[in-house]
Amino acid sequence: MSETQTVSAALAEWIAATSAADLPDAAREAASGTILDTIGLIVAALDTDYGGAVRRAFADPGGATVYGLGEGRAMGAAAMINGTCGHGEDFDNTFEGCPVHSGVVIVPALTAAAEALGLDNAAVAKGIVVGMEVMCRLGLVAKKAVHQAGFHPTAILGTMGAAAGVAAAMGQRPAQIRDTLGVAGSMASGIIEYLADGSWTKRMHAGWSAQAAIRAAMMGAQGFSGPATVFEGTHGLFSAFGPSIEPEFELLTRDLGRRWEMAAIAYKPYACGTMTQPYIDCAVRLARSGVDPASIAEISCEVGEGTVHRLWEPLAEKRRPTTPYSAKFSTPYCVAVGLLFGDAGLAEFTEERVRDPRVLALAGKVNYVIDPDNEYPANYTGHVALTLRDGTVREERQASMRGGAREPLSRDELEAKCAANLAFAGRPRDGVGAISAFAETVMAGQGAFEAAALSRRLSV
Amino acid sequence: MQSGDAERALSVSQRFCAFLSALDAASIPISAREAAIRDLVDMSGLCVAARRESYVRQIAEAWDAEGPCTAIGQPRALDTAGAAVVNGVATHGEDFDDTLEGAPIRVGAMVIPAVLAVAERFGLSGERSLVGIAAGLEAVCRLNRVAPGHMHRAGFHPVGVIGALGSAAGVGTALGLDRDRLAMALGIASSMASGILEYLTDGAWTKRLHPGWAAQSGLRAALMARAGFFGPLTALEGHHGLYRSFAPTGTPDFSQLTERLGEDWQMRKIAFKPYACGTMIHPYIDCMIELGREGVDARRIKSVVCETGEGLVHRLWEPLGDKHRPPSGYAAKFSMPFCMAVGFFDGDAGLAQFTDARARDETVLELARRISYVIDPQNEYPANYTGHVRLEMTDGTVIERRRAHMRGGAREPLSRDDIVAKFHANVAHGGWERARGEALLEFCETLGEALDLSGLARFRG
Repeated sequence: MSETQTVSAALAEWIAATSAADLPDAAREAASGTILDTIGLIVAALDTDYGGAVRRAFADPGGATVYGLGEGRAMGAAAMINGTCGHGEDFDNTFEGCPVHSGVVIVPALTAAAEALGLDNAAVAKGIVVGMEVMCRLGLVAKKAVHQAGFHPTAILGTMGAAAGVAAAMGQRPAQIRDTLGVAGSMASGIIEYLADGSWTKRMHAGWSAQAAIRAAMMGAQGFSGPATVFEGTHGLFSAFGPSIEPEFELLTRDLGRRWEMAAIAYKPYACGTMTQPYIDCAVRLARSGVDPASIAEISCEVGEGTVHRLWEPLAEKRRPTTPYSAKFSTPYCVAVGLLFGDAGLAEFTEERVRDPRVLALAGKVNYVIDPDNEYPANYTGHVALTLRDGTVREERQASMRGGAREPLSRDELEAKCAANLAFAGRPRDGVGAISAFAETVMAGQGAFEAAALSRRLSV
Repeated sequence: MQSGDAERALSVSQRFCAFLSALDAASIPISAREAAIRDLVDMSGLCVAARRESYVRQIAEAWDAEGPCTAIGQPRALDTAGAAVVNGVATHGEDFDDTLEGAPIRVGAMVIPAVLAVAERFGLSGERSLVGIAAGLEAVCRLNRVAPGHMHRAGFHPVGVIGALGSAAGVGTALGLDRDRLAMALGIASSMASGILEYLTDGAWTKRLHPGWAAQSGLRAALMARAGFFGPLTALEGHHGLYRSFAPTGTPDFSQLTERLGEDWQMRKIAFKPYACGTMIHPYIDCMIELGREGVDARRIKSVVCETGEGLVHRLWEPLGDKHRPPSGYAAKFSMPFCMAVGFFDGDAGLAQFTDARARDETVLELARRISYVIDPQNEYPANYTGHVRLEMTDGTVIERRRAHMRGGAREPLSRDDIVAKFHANVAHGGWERARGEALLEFCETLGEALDLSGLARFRG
């Protein structure tokens, strides 16, 4: 980025000069894994209460795919439904550095845009990688500032990332990309008041951002002018949505095309809070080693102090979460289901399961001790120590979060997660092979983009 | 629980929506109904005026979904969101649409396009549409008075932010949502509310986009709430609510949403603009038009210094060098010096005065360069918009003119005849025959009697 160049001009220049052939394998693999993960999550949530509501509200028929539905919807409707369902269970990908969920904005946006505009796989592959990269880098710039101002980073930064991705896929010229980003800045939205009452707007943000981004890109392509200084201007995106920091735009524009942040995307192995995941790993290993839950007298976990107020306290409430959603943020509950069921997927976070006396009895035995040397927040570790009735102690430790950069999930593990999600929704479990092959085909960048056949295969 | 306690236990949006959801044609006073119709007339004329502008055509032609809804003056029939966006952008595109004094915001451009689109799509009656329009206009006026000025300060455009909620309120009321569904629609719309002010830097078109985008956001929010999507009930006053996020420097006054509902219809005070440019500029233009008509010789004007309220300096006066030479006809609308100069020469500041060619007119620019300002700390802005010019002539004589308020506002409202005259001028600017304009005017003025809005389709193309 030269001294006189605006931030969006620097991005636009890079996007326009990048071709699908330039994408390194690591970026393709991260995007392919994200497609696989995202589609499984969308299908899993179609028949939930919020999935039903968003499907009724966005019912206009059309040629765009909602993964797992037999019939198409209008472009914006498909993006909205895919995004809302994908993010609905908080089980989608995340990014260590800033919690932006890129898959559930970028994949729905690129799917709907590709189908509405007739884009091919090479275009979509480029669009997904560019969109994820811009979104992750914006997360690095924003740090905690967007949350601090009361806005949802996935929503605000997702609109920008997805707009960049759709512009990339459309093959826009730099001037068009600058307008696209400028227009997208005026569509970025999403407040975090859902924290007050668990309302569903957090889920909606991913889909709303996806459909807004396509509109922004279509307007930018036509020459509808957006401000050139949308990121750094006095009244720009960061001064409005992240006023507490001096943004370092170098984190967004430096080494574009050489360093790929999105290649380090993190997938969640379990359908719950990120920091609980290493603890579940410990519980699952103990379960697999043959520990009988009935023989457990006490359970103790060493924890980082910073995780206590959200995931452990008030302890009495955390041991008896009242809803599936609050159970996702209770380490005692998560450890208990890990010990009992050897997993913590969608099936472990249902209304029925949060009232299961076996789970609640075990969760009631879980305690924590603060380890002042714990690395949190630089690293997420896990520890579970069981004292059995006969006095023996069994202990497991997890040195980092599985699914993150230190210990990525393998393709097999992602496929297993996807299969479990399909099964949870009563869809054919073997659909995972078709999803995985679809993701690979798209990211290989060969041929036409064809999602409808996959969707029919996944619909019951 | 006592009923007083029950009342207090409700969230702000539930209390406001209890009022909206109970509205019907009989509970809206004639004066409010007339205000709604005046705004509809003004908005329709503006849509025709802007129908050939590229920023309108681009959206109308590139929109991906056709449907049963009308974008006034455009040939394509669009889906609800498309019609709402196009009508919203067209209404506000030339900055000639309604406004509010005291707490500046546009009102009709976000509400009316959304209600019309939904009414057309779902077969609502004209009466139900009118109830929705009145409700949405009232919602914008009141939501905007909760923390006036503070959204701008945080870098947001109230048209976009509050507009999304106003549209949701209008559409939700028209559809007959109950109190809690309507409150959830406002909660959902709060998560769709958007619009940053960065267009101020380079005159980008995003300002034009905001009312249309808000209109379609609000109607989506209302339809989601109707479908049972769960939105936060505390979206207005909550710890992470709309005003905390978008107006963090303000102390919100939520009594604006709970006091004298149904007694004091604030939308009756909507102001209509006589000139196609920034509202606060109007009284200054009136001063200059008067001097032009008196035959003051431009060549003899050495300097023009205007007393001005501090709050309008950053948008309408500074950076002064740029304001002296606006880069486009659109940017010229927000240049105090340009508007004053062109008013002086032309005796008007209508759509014809803000073409790109006119923005390059050296005669106008030469006078504009001699116009500057001094801040008057006593100025009443934003409670009242005043005008003042002090001309120093080359021979040393001084001429001063003042305007005590804005024409078109509550202190000197435009009459129905004024609004109809503006409507016909706008329709002519858009290239329609007068007879077609008369038909559209009649449609608007008799909306309350229409069984449905199928008649709107006559005004495509």
